[in-house]
Amino acid sequence: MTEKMLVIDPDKCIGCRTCEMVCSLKHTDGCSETRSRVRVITQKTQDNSLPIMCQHCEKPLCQEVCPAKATYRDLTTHAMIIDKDKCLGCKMCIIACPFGAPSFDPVDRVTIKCDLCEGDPECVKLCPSETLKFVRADKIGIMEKRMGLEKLFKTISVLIG
Amino acid sequence: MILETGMVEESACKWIKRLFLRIFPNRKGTAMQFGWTGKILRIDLTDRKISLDTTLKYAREFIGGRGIAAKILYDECGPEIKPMDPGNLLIFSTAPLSGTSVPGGGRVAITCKSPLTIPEGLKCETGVGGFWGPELKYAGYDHLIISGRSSHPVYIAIDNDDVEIRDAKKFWGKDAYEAAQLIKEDFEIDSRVMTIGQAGEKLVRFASILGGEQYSASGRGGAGAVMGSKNLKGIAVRGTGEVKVAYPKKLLEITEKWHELIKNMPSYPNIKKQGEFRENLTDALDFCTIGNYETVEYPPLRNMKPDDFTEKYQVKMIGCIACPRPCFNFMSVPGSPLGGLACSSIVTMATQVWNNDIHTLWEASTLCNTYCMDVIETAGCIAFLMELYRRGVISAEDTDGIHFERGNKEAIIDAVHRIARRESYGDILADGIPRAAERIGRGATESAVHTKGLFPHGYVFQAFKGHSLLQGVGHKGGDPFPIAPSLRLELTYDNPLVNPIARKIGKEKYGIEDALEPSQYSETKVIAVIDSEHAERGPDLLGTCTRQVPRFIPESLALEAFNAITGMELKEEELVRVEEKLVHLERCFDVREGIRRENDTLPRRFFTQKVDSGKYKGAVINEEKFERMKDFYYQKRGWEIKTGIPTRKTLERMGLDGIADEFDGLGIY
Repeated sequence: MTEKMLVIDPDKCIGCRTCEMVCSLKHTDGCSETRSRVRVITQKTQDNSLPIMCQHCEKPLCQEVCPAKATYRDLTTHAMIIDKDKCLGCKMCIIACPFGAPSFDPVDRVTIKCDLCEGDPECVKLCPSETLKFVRADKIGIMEKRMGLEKLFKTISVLIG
Repeated sequence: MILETGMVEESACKWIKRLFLRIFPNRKGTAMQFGWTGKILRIDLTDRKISLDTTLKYAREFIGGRGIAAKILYDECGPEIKPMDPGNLLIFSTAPLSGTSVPGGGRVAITCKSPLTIPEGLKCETGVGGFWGPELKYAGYDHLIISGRSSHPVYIAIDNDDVEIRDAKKFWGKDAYEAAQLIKEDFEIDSRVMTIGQAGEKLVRFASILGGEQYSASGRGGAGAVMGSKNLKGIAVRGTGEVKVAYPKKLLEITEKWHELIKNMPSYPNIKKQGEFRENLTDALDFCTIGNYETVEYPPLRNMKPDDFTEKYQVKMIGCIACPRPCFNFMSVPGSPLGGLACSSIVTMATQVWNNDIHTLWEASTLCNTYCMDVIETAGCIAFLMELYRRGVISAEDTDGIHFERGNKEAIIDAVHRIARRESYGDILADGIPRAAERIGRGATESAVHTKGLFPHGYVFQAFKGHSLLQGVGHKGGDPFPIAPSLRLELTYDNPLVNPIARKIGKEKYGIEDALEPSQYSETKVIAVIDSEHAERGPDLLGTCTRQVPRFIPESLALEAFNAITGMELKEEELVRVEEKLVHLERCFDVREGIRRENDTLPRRFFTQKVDSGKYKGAVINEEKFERMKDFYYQKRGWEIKTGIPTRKTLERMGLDGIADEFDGLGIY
């Protein structure tokens, strides 16, 4: 299976929190923002918002700090996953993560984070603004380049008139 | 190995749980642990008492949201209580669908006695979208009921189980946007805050409540004034709980289907990019009136360029929780506060006040939002002044030297400021149009356009007979909105693209092909009005949005979502029965306040003044035929034709026997 990655486009997010709702619905028996694996952070003035979720780093700090060795990489989806049964709920990974992506589940009393829904992320399926995308890992670089080029062409055309 | 067995055990547990729930489905219904949180939070501001109540005793009969709120208001707020009295209740309601993944779940129904209506004290039914309602549910409450009056300005801070009444002296006098930010900083940065602006503090009778975001306000009916009369500046909520769902997988499928339906709407790409801004300022002009219902054509309005405006200033489209259809244009316009607008608030500040400058429109509307008062009513007040000025009833001397000529930009902005602060002439207008007209005298009442005290929506009522009936008999004064698709088609009946659909629906649903033709006073129109009244209440009861259900999403899908969330098996006809019951309960509330047949009418000018130009030139409502339509409507509803009071037999059929007995006691029958 080709490796796929989650890409977030901050310009597009409308802050509707659909991702939070469907994520918690998929992983638990209810809808809740605290039990969701993705959290949308909205700026005070409400003109900017962004979903914060696990980036599934190549050298994950969460794994390094975990005293219970509960984090491991799923080899089919390349996702970093926290083993619910091993997790102590010490919250070290939340502090260590540069994004603060993992969160603490107040009901199950363990730390939770994105597991890429076994390779078919629900949040991506339902994101209405196309902020969240799930694309082939080797395409990301070229996608960004293409977007950058588009912006450049736009600027040039404005300059030329 | 341990990992593997653990996983097996977990899935087995889940499977057994599911099986158990399948075998005993009724158990879930009685426990009510799904969908509802089961708790009602009551706060008495007079003696600072905080107590809990249970949703359970109401939910069986009235499902949730607007239904339960109506029941509570009927039971606890008798005719002796005036809207601004401490005894008036302010009820914030969520329903089972709120706070789930279902789009439209952000709606909160706000219920109280309205200070704006005539006679005073009819039931005010308004709502906001956004994120506040779900937060209340995550904090563990279905409804929040506020009663009493605080001796000094306060705000309520709800952090899950901890509820506090805090001092808000330092926020009093601030506008709604700023107060919300300050309360957030004072309490908890992640909380959602509902606030009122200066208009609510000054008891402007059509003040609204800002729903926690910088775009969604409660609009009509004057709930903000009631909140202001209680000395309550804001309500901050922080909830970390969850809404339990009985069948999560099923709900996920329904959500996917719902998104699919919205995304397949032909207008969706445009809505996503530009919202309703362009639609409202171009297409809507075809069926909107201009000024104080004076004419229908005003060529300068056609010169507006909404596209350029959105392109220049729009930050993004923004919406409510979990909704793919962003309704609000969120813009950063120099000179106006950063914020969003949607729907009627966009169009009224152009059409009603003869204004074709989008900058003025935006400034006036966002100012209304920061002061927090109803944009439609404010525009109505300005339209009323402009007509009086034209008629010569008032002159610039009466309005502090400002000339209320048609479309005078300075006058529009000035009026907004003055009304919100109750300064000079604004103080008169802040009591609503009919009360202001009486105070001005000199024949001003002739220009006062209102139904039950509220300025109607801007349709050409003379042309659309179905809409005029809905407006006349409607529950919320000038507010009823055509919700059922069948009635909506009356507006666009002449559009060649829509006409075949309208004919088809007429044929299929009512058996007559031209049933929805605007000029018809037919009985099918009455049935379409009844359908629309029911359709409006369905989403309110379940907890979703009338902008989607049933316009783009069939009610059956919303019901499916309800069943998946609560684990109940509510059928469509049962829902319709509850909707009908709610119509009767709301009518009974109004009847107890003094509404009779003669109040179910329209402004005089709809019967006397012919449409002077445009497509519907010459159209006027024939009063006799209108009254006959009303007869049929009462008959169909089971209300006394002479008085418009629901008969004992009807109330008994609805299961509202208690009300019939009460009416006997009060001498209403």
